Amino acid sequence: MISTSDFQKGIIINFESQSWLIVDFQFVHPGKGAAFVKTKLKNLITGNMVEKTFKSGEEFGEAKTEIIKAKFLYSHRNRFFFCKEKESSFRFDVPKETIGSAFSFLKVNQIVDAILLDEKIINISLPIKVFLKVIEAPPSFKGNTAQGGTKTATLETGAQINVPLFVETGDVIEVNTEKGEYVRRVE
Amino acid sequence: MKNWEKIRCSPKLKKIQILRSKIGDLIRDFFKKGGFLEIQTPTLVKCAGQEPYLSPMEVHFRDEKNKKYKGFLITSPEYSLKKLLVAGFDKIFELAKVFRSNESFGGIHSPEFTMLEWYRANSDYQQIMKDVEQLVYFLNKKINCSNYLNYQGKKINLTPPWPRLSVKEAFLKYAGINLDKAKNLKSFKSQIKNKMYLMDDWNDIFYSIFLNEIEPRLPENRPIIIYDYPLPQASLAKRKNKNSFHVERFEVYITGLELANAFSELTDAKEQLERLKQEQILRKKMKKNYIPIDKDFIYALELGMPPSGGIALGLERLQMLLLGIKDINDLLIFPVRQLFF
Repeated sequence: MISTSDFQKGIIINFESQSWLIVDFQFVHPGKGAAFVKTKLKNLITGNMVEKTFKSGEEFGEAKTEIIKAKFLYSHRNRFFFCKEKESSFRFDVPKETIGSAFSFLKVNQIVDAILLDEKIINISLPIKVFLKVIEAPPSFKGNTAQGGTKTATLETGAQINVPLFVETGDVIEVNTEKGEYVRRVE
Repeated sequence: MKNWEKIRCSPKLKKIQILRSKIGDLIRDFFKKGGFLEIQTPTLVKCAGQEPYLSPMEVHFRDEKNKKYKGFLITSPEYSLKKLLVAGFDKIFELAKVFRSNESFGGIHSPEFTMLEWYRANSDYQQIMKDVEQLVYFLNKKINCSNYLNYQGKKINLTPPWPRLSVKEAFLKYAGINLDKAKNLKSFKSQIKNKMYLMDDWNDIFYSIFLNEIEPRLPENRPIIIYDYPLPQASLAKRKNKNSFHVERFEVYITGLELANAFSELTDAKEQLERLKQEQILRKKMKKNYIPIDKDFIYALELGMPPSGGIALGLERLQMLLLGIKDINDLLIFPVRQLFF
């Protein structure tokens, strides 16, 4: 059983005899009532999105899903191609929507979790932390770090994110793929 | 990066904190011009609020002789402020730090937040509705120079008066449920078709329906005042009349965000004591921590509290609305999530 306290983006619950992917959720506690969890759910059969609010502590059946490690190969016309990590002949592809906003941090050979439901890939999740090289960052001048400010850097995957001024072209930085944010400079 | 570090690198984030401070100044101006007295009541008390669905934080401490004491951090300054109405102050407000356990560390919740409460003696919830409309309208005018609030892609017209909808109308209109025929659990359940809401607690069903059926359908281009709650949701509110199933309580929602809760205050000491005892039983049933009844509060009501209106408004939520911030962790400089991890 999965309780509301186990809720995470990307997990699948059974509800009203169907399987639903948790796309988003938020804890909400009306002052004069019990705590609840607002969720955005995607129906895995129809693809429809619904909003449901469950009482905190409610339990759900788990959908029988399988998680496999997959390797990112390339993208073409908004479709992303992967293979099983240890079986390169097992290939599959998914649309951008299946990956969500983290798609921009996908680097060739990146290992991801692919979730299978009834042998169909229904979700791809990147590790929360990935290391990416900065291929372009506008130069910053000595002294202005104390004054603060950020600048936009382009990463090797083409993604653009805000970084502190001290980050330079060629640096490797850690990125939080869930929030799409700079975490720290690695080297 | 922690928020204070981010502020160091971002004039935009620094500006948010400057505006938060300005909002505080404007709130004080608003109430002082209206003849209100700013009061500070204790954060550490012996008897916290008895609200069955809240979890006050316990505090253990000692005096100079090493004697042990147990107290609580307040979940609201309500009891203290009402004692001050009895003491003879007729228009009071407080910006109080309040604490609640078992809340989310982010989104629209934080274990520590600021409650803006104000009370008017010889008044009722109707006047408080006008106050809250005027306050929010005034603050937005000063901060955003507009009658409209822009929040998360939505444009909300704040011009008073705001639309009002009674709880009874809301349940009938959006959920097809007649609350007058739902006075107990059995009659409530008999009107429910969706088995998702078939729970064993009246209040749980009430909020399940409210959050699933009503709140998502509330107008998004205007704030809304939801008023006259049924008796199981009475809390510290006065009944509409002696045997009424409805109480004079209202809540303010802006784009689905619960901003404030207000009452015509219950002034009857006997009924108040009875409700607190019921709440204590409910707390025990739900395995919540034991909180002694504040006898001093009951004594104050016995001495005679004037008919009054009062409200509690989440200051950080108001700041989030005015400054266009979605997650409280992006508003606070030191969010709990960063302090405790």
